[in-house]
Amino acid sequence: MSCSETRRLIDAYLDSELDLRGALELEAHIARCPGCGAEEHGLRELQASVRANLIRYALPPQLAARLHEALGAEEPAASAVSEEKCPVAAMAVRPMRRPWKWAALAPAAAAALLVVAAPRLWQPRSEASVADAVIAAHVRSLLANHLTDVASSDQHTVKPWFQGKLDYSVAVTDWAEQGYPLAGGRLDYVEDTAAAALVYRRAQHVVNLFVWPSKRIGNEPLQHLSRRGYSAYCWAKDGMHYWAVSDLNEAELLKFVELVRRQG
Amino acid sequence: MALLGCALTGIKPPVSWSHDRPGHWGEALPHRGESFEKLVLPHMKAGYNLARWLLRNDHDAEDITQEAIVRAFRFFDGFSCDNPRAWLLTVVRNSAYTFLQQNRARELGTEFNEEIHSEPAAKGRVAETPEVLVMRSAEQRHLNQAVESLPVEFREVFVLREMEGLSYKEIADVARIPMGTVMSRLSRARQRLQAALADREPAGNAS
Repeated sequence: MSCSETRRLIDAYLDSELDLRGALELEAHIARCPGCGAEEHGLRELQASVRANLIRYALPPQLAARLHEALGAEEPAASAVSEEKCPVAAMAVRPMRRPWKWAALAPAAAAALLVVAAPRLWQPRSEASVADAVIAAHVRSLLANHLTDVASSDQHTVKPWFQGKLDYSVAVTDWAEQGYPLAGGRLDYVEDTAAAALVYRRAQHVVNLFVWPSKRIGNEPLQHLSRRGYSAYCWAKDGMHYWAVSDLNEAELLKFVELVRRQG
Repeated sequence: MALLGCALTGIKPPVSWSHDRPGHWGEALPHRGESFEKLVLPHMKAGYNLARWLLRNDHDAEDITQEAIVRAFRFFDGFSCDNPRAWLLTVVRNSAYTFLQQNRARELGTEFNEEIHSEPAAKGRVAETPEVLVMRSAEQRHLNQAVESLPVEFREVFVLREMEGLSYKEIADVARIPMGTVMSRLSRARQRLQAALADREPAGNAS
């Protein structure tokens, strides 16, 4: 890693936003480069000072009292449930109101949701780690300027590129007409397995589609999760794992996923 | 593959907002208010701290926090809210920016204007707050003044990262900027702080 690359990524490194490989490369560089080593030392000192000394302003007691009053006054008018989703892209839009009886049912619905979701909280650790690994691979591809090994919108260039690098074949399709142009391919690693990463673009957003062979036989249904602000869909089909990861909104990512799932 | 349901990922275990008066808000806010209390109100302190750092005085920070939380309550939909803390911080941030646009437009869009922030603009205000009276050291005083003197676009990214521990992606969503901009603003904020602290150290030691 060069000095300029190190300086560009050093904040991401200190903030634990770099993946393991990037972090190791950066550490190797600062170990042998006194200038970048001093930079890292200075930033760590600043960070320690900030954590020890920056004021955390406490909530004034009179504000808590004012809020209690204000929210109490809100309640009758706000008894309808907003249809706006919580993520605030839609904050400026006035929410539509549902009939009041839906609001009365809401706590029951929340309880039902918890009952359904609760057993899933005890998922095997390894599967949570796959999600972390895949999302880390996505973040790494964005931050470390390593989006593609083979940059091409031509599926007939990208598909052969993987041959010889992987011991399985990957279907590569350009979805430009549907609004998801192919940007290229990259070799990545998930769970110590070489995975094909197909890179697609959607406006300013990047979608990474990871594909690798499944150790289990059989198909697995589509699942969605979001973590650290990223959205991911995963499924297994015909002995292959598929993970689509992006910062796209859920609906647009799902549209992409449906394209991929329909192709074979 | 068993994964967390989307609607519930990222939600921390419910914490009662007030330890001395558990259920306090729930009584005042039946129905939807209960989940608002459990999901959003625990982050009210973080919301106030962010407002206070963005606006740099107690009075405005209190008004804006109240406005933001009432607004959040109106828009709240507990079933699709997968990151209540980042969401509340976004509402607070947007309210604070609207206030700055209407009342102190001079403080906005100053990313490239070094002059406005070359003097510690909020020095007088800092001295009013009780927190400042108990500041232990010159280092502490200088650091807080240096952060207050950062342009607001840098200050928000810095506070969200260093005080709230948000990921770059979460900061990008809160501040509506690309992740690369988060990284570069953080980097420049830290460079400015280092420079400011290096400048002030001799004066601090002398006084």
